[in-house]
Amino acid sequence: MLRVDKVKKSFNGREVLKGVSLNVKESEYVAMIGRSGSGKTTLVRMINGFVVPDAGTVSVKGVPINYRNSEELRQARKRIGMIYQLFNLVDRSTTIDNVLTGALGRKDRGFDLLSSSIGIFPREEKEKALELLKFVGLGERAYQRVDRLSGGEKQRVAIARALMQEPHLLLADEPIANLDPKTSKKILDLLRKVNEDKGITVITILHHLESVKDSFDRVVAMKEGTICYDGNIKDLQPNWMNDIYGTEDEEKEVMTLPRITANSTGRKQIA
Amino acid sequence: MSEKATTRSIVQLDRGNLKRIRDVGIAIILLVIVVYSFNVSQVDPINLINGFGYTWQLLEKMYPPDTVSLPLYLSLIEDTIAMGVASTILGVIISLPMGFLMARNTAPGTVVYHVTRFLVTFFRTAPSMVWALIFVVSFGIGAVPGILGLTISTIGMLSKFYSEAIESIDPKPVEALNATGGHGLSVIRHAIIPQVTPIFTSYTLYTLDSNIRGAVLMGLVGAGGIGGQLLIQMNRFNYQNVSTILIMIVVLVALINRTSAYLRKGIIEGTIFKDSRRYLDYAIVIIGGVVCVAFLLVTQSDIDWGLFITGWGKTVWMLGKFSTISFTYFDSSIDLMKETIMMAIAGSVIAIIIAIPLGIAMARNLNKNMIVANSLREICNMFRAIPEMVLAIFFVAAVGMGPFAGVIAIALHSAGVLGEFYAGAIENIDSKPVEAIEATGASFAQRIRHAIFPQIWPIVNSNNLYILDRNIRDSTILGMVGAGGIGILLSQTFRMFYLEDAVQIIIVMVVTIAIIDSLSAYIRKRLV
Repeated sequence: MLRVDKVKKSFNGREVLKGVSLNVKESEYVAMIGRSGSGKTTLVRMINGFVVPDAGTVSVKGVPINYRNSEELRQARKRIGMIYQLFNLVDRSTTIDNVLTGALGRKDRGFDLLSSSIGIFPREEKEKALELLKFVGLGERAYQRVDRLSGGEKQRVAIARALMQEPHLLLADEPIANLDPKTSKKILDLLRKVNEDKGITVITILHHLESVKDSFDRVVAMKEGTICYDGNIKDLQPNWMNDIYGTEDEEKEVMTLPRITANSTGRKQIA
Repeated sequence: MSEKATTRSIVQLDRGNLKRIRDVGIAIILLVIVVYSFNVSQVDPINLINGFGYTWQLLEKMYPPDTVSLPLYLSLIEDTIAMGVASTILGVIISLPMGFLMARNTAPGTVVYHVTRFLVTFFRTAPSMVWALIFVVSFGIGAVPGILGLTISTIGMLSKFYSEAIESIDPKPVEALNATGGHGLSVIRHAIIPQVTPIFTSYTLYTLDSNIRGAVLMGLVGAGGIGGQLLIQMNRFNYQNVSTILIMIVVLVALINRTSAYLRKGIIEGTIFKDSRRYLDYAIVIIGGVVCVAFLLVTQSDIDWGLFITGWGKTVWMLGKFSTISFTYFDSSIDLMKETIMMAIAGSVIAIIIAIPLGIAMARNLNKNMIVANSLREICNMFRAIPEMVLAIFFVAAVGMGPFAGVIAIALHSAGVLGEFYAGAIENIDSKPVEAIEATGASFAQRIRHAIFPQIWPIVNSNNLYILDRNIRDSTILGMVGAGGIGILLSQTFRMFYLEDAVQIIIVMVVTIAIIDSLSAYIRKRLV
């Protein structure tokens, strides 16, 4: 349902993505790892249109993303949810108000647009928001101000907000980087629940795979703007992690691990 | 498969609705007050449309500006600047010790603390023009009453600023010095003063800016400077001279405003008074001070010092007359005070309505068009700098006497202040939730309502209240030039020497302003 085709991107003369291709099927649960600067966030932000590729295309459910047309971009973003490292919530507003903002994309015509621009939501939306808050385990905190919640709770609110969009695809940009290990596990478990119970495709960017190996089936590893591993997490050998993350004094340009990528039919091959 | 929300949350949902009803109720009450204020101040669509026409006619009569009287006006501008500088210097000298006496951590005793606080609040509440009126009666017309009036209000403002700065210092160096046996003045000199010097300087620069603007106004009650000439030329319908004077005032005020803002920004950001060039900066300050004093001595060499001495005698006589109050004009006071408040409300509301789109257009993170954003900023700065009284004089000439002129003057001046403030608030928001909401497919209007608005709402409201509070205070004197409100009653009673009535009017003004001040401070605390 997601198809990334040979995208390239440079910032200030530095090539951040060097012709990356990726295919993700419906309801897959994917982890994306790599060093800072390897291009993970840039690639993911291309999917919901915040970064425009210099070359190549990105398609969601067969529809290529048109970066130049703001209306089409809006339509594409409606069904793509995103959660962030710093949660990106409106701190002064209540939990439920934050979750309701997830419905804004759907309220884009006539009366709906007018009422949501004033801040009025119909009762069904509010009840739906409450259901989602219950789903993420925050049913009793609907009317509390978000700045009173802990980090883990805030991320749950963010997940509820994303679910409010009824997304096909959920992107998670380093969602646990600011959380302690125990809370991180809970959040990843929640994301797994989202993927299994609701069938939503989930792509999660992580800094470290070690502690969370059991949660994921498929891992995509990026290094210096290209995908250097794409496959089952069980096949990922521990010593390859060094190559993915690299050590500071290593001068080696040559990668020591075999490139294993899955082509569009899902069959593994050596590139 | 979907679970219904728990009963408790449904109850909370309904409670949320009750809160909404309460908010709507408050909004309706406020709306009624605003409509009433428009009514009292004669603000209606007809007057507004005619107003444009009259303003244009007046502008036509004011073109081209007269150049013959330029030398006279320039010397008056010098006098104005001198008044502003002198009152600032005097004000600083007195406010420095006052600030220490008023600060909780340095006051030498609760009696002193409370007495100085009361005195300073009293100085601050009455507008400087009122003080000037009093001193004009004692010292005659000329620069001296203006300087004294400005000094009194400077003490009111600056002492409070200084004391707040002293109260918010880091206590650790003070404790450390006390522990080594230091005490009193030496602790102040070595632990407190180094911490507060930058912000004291910043406040002082702000006061200089404010006092030069105030000095322009002093002339309107005969206290010297260019203000007086403005009124004279207005009354003689010499509109071309008026426009020369107005242009000079605008240029003066804008220049001082810019320089002061630039210097203050440098101090706060640490580029001025850096350690590395500290001696250079102090040298500049001292030389600047010497230049100011020399300038004063040269331009004010015609001060009649004899009158200065005898004037204090007259002041005592006046204070004697003040001790009796006459309530002859009490009913008029109340009526006109009400008109003043309504005028301020109407003007502030119009200013808010203008300033909202203005602020959005000037916010650099919303409006990528630099040319539009910056030119709007310049226009706002201009209206911000022009004193409301000057605008009031202009609009009284354009649309006639009465509160309508006052409302326009307040609206334009405050729109400049508020527009700048709104733009700043929008630029300072956290952009992360804005991006997150944009990522859900929300439109521009939805983003503003759900990501930007909740972040700035409390501080915008707090500032709106502050502006309303300030406007009520400043509107009390607009009547002196015919723009409605209690000012006219005040100036008339002074001119006719009905000082017992003047006392009553001043008391009505001061008490009303004090009540509104505390009310506004209370509400603002609860908002944020």
